[in-house]
Amino acid sequence: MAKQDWITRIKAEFTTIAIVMIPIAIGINQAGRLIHEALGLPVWLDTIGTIFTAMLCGPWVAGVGGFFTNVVTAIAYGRATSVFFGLVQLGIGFLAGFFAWKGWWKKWWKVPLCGIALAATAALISAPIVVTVRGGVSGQGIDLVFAFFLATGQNFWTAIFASRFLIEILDKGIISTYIPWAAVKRLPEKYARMFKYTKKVR
Amino acid sequence: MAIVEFKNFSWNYSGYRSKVLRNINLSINKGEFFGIIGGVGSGRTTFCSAIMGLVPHLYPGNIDGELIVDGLNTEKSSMSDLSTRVGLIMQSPDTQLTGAGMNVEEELSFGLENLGTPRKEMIKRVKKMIKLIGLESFKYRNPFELSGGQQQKVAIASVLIMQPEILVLDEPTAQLDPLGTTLVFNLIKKLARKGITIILNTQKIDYLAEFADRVAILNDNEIRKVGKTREVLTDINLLKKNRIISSDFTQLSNELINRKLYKGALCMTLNDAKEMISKVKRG
Amino acid sequence: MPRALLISYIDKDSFFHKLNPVTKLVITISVIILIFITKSFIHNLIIFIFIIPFAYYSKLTKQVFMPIKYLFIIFVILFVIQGLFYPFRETVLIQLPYGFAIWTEGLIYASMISSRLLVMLVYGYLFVLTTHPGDLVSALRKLRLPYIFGYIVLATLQIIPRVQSQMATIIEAQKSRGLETKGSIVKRLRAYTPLLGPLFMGSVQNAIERATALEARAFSAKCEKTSYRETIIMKKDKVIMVLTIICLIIFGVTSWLL
Repeated sequence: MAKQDWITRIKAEFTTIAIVMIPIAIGINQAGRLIHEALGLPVWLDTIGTIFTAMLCGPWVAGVGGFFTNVVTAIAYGRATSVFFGLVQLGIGFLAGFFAWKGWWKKWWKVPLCGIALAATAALISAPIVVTVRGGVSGQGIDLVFAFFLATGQNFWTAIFASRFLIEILDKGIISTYIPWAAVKRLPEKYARMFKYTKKVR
Repeated sequence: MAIVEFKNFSWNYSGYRSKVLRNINLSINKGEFFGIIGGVGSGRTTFCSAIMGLVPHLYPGNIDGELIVDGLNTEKSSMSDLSTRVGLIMQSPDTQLTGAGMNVEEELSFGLENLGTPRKEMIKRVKKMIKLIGLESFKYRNPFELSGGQQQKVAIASVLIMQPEILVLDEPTAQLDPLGTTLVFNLIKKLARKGITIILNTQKIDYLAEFADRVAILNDNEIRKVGKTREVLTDINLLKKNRIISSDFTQLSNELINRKLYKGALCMTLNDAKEMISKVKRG
Repeated sequence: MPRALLISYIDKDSFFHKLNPVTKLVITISVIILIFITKSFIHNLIIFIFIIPFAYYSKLTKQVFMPIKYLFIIFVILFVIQGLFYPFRETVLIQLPYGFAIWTEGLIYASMISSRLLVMLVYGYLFVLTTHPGDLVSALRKLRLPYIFGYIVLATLQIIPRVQSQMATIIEAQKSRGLETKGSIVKRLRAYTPLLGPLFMGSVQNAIERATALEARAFSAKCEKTSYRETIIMKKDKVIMVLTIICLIIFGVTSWLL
């Protein structure tokens, strides 16, 4: 019975608006990625939609949304490797939603703390994936950091985790958490009331 | 016979103190073409959403009184039950598309898939609908590649395919160009002739003048007037009081009467105006 | 007008196109499992070469190899980093100045990983070249894939091209206003991040409107849903699936033992 209860409760999170929000959130992630390219900065911005959804619809919806960001890339371009990295997005979405559930986004000074936790999670999940799937290499600027750590005699896993964490913190420490957070704060009441979790964030 | 019945119906969105719809008492008959006009922010969109049951099923808030649609109390029935009785079309052609239809045919069948309609029946109805909206040559196109007017026609067909008794149109042409507007109104005219109950909320008074049986003025969240189309739309003072601009034809005839150039009734449609002009010429 | 749908699918009348998406998915996943089992670069190359008959039978011999160019940079970095710093290094291949060296084990590891990436890329690409996402979703729904997952995939494929063209317009506009992509970090962030505000607001409004449209189309109906797009699993599909799994086991075991 208890198990049934869990499933019903999770299913109840997937309201029509929450389901519709997922493709749109993935669109925002994509928009963030395009801005990242235009900026030419090591700030990914490709989880802003996932984090935004987490603050509106909670951990389960955001987790699914995050994971499908990568599933869709795989289906559109055939990049099978992208599915593995979907677990990183899933983790970020779920954790950010968990923070929303706990009400930790309410105070402005907690936002960067949540951001650091998200960065650490992203680094923890992505490190083993990037090693098994791509031999630790991303094909981006982060590889230089990784090589630097290795060259200074760091242990392989320390190097991969440290380089990932360093680069994730630039992204999620402030910018990728602050932008969606500010957007939720400024949402007009008539929109905000349509989502379950906004009350816990604003 | 009334098919839509508002009984002392009020609604307020949660978090708002004032009501968006206040003490609405109104009945709309089966087969009727019913127009809604009113100022901006007067509650017209909420009025349309209420008939579909979006209020209270999608939007959180409180209902007072009741609303009976084709025998169902909207508050107590599910959205899927209501969706086979009422079709709702809103403004933006883009968000009227479900996003899940890879081509026009699939877009049309979306509602039937959700209702579990057998595939054979779906194919039959899709074919019929495509013919009705005249988009045979576009049936394999992606709906997002169509023009706004075509998209709105697809949207209308995609709710009609569920064979509702009532079609509610909430400013269906507000975001369309003149050509798109004509396309959509031609379709609406065709549907009205088939006997479907049509409830149309629009700013385009000229079209209402041509098609509607009755018109209601909804302003400041209350029904101000319900009456025969001609009675409402030629009452210049009433319209002015409710911040509605009357038709150019009505204004023209009013001007001519004031200047003592014409002695007939106020005009409402293009045909009225033509008649008036021929009389003025003879006079 | 921009493309309305984000897909790589190319419509051809071929044997491979006509297979059920599930069959093709089984083949692709089998190949991916296999390359994680193999321990040698040569085995991976053999698996890679097998793409040629597949590509031939899908009438897409050239296209399948198109995305390889994107892997080039990764390969270079992979060989440099692993060649120099592979953690289980033992044998020096070339001694470099300043105490650096290129290690044999590192190069072997790099070639292993790069061949693995290569195989995943071409087989994955062949799959999406020959499978329409609509068919994929319809076939997976028959296997009880939750309805909403299919909706998410298809709707996202429709939304992304529009987001892309919208962003391209905005970015162009910012550039023409002199908000260059150069300058200090703060300056660059100031130029672009405010663009995201309207993006979020618009997206929420969009979600609400689309939700009303879906509700009006019985989206939340509790009954068994049906599908307009039909995909059938035919006898040849079943045969190929069984053969694929047998091959996976045989190749997997041999490669592991060798």
